[in-house]
Amino acid sequence: MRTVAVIALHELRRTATDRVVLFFAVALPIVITVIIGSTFGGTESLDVGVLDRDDTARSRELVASLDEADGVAVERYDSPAELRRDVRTGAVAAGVVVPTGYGRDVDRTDGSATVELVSDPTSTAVAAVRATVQGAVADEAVRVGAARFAADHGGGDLRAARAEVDRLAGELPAATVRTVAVESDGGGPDGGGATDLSTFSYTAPANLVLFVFVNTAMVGAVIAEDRKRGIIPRLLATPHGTGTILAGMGAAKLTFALVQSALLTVVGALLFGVDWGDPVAAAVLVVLWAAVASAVGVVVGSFVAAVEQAQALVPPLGVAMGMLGGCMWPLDIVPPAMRAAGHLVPQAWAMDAWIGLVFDGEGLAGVLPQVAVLAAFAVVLGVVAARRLRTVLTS
Amino acid sequence: MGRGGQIRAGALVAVVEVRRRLGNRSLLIQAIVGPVALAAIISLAFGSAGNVDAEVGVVDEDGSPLAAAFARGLVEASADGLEFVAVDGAAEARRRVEDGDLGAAVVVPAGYMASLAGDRPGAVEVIAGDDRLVSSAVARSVADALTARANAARLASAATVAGGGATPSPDDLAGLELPIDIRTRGSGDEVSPAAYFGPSMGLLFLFMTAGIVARSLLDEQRRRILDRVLATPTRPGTVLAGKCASAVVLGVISLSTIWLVTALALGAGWGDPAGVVLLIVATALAVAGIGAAVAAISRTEQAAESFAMAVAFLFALVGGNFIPPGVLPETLRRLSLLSPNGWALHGFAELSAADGTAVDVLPHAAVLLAWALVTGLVAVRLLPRRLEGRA
Repeated sequence: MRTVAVIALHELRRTATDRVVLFFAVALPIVITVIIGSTFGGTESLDVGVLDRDDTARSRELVASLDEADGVAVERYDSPAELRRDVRTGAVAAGVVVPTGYGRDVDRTDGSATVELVSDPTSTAVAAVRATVQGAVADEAVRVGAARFAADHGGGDLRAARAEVDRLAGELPAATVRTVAVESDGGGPDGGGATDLSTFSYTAPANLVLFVFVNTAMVGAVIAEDRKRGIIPRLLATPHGTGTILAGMGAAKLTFALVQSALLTVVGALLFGVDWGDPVAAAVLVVLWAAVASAVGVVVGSFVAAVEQAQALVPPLGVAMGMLGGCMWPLDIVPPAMRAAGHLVPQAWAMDAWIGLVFDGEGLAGVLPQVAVLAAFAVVLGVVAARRLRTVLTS
Repeated sequence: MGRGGQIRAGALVAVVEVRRRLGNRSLLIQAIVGPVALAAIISLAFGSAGNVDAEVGVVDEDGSPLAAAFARGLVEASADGLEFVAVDGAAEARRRVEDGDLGAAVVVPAGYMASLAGDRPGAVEVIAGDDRLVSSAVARSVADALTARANAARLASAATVAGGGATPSPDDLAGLELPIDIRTRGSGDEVSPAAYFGPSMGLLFLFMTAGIVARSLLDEQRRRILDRVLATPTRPGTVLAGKCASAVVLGVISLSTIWLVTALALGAGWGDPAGVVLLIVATALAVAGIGAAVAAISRTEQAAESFAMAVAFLFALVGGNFIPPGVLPETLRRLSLLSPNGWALHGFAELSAADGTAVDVLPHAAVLLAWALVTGLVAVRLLPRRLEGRA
């Protein structure tokens, strides 16, 4: 047991002095968390690009009501190409196009207009903007529709009816929508459901899953370095069994993954008030994920010949698995085939479980299937890792 | 050795370097296979329309003409991937959502329409279930649409009465049309996601390879190869130029391959070819320059590697490779104007999404070339002094 600890400590000490590793493991995730946290935690609004092709009093009214809506700031555009580009690069969170003839159609008694909302489907940040834009457009539609009806049935002219509707809209309480979040059989506190779905609540666990995996897989390369430096042959020359050495190396990766997870969860919780859900279930998830990641780390370490190789291979691989598994965007928004493919990687199961915890307020029982799959991943990968490492050590 | 000799020596260094790196499989994965694979995943995830897959229950406990017409309209509008199912009663809907049989449900409560006439209008209820993100969003927007109609009916009724008309019948109000529609389009409908994420991922990993110039130089210094090269009349600047030239060549190969593959296999239109070539070359020069500067200020291979990685990720972070700049706080957004990634990415988007031409991306290319020039100068001034000092 002591030998395991010594081997693990040695490796951790080396990891802790590796600036590349520290950068990826500590600085980068925290910087990203802080940037995203300060963006969504702050009161700053998101920019919406508006292309008003009509430029009439009616269209300007719609744009003005958009501008007044909470959480968005209107940025005006003159060319559809520029708007398309800025939505694509994310310079604006979404684009709104008011078509030519909008004012004319709206003011006619039987005309109708279609406002276009362009958004980047890969960005989870725009959901709130979309709702706001839709709300503003719907509000205008309600007034126009009501005014037409009143003019039609009351016999007055449209302009007077509109003025009356605007006045009434300020007085009458509006009908609303009530959202009830339904829990699955797991129980636990009410998670608040869909209405509380903030981007940050999703990003925090997504980053945890993504970075802990990539970093732990990358530090696996220490094994390759140890082989090169002849540390492993020397370890093998001691009376300690291969099993002990294996355990020590595995323990080092696990500790690394756990420390990193702890850091990210604590920073998220303390600085940005991320609610990680049921503490017991969260702890189980963190430990299981650390186990999966460290097993992958050992496998990587047994395959690569040098640290540089791991640094070249692991980030693209980790990011690809993250994309497939829902770390970059929720899997709910991709086609079913991609979602199914995503569940071939452990990331998807981990994200499913975190969504259960954070959004649905599930307890351990509620995410048992995901936990079981992750445990299976950990066991299988652990066995593969141990076999590979044994082969490498003894060859 | 004359100028011609130096150029020949530099070219030789570059050729050796390019050959060595093209033989390095992990570099190929990082610079070509990785970005293409990531762009492909994004394309598969977002390239096709009809990503929606939701089943939403509709409960009409109200039975008013408005609610009935609305519920009927929804069920009839069911389409591929988006299905509305009529359900008897809120309790039944809730049970089916709990069972995961339905993603979410919309309930129009009994007496809803009647409540609109009073001071306390009722609320349409959304039962949000496990398949939250899409089904719940769909249910929510359906509920919003019904609520909008209800509010319009309410205002219309009041305004009609105020205008001297008779109180409209529920049937009349059910026929009320909302004349403004909103149609949501993904930006990917017009511009292939791969046309944006191809360059984005390519840039990200290309900048991550910036440390290679430094690593190669420092490695050769450690193994005393550099001493031997410098013992010939080859000047340190020539060696540096050769290494940088190889980095430029590899950068161009990497981005061009990504361009070719995403265009042929994923149908991504990157836009005006002259502009694409211009940006690719300018980007490769900037990456090489940054790599050279890193080499000039790093003392060990590890330091060079960590420095290059930190710089690459910082640029990527503020340049929009990870987080769209639109959601960044104002200060960071200004900072992104300093990032070569940001300029390159913006330039590529100008070509693919805004139908720009080579002329339109001249400013982007100029900024990238300025990066190449400034970092190159730093390297040219600092590196020979360091190499000669040590040699």
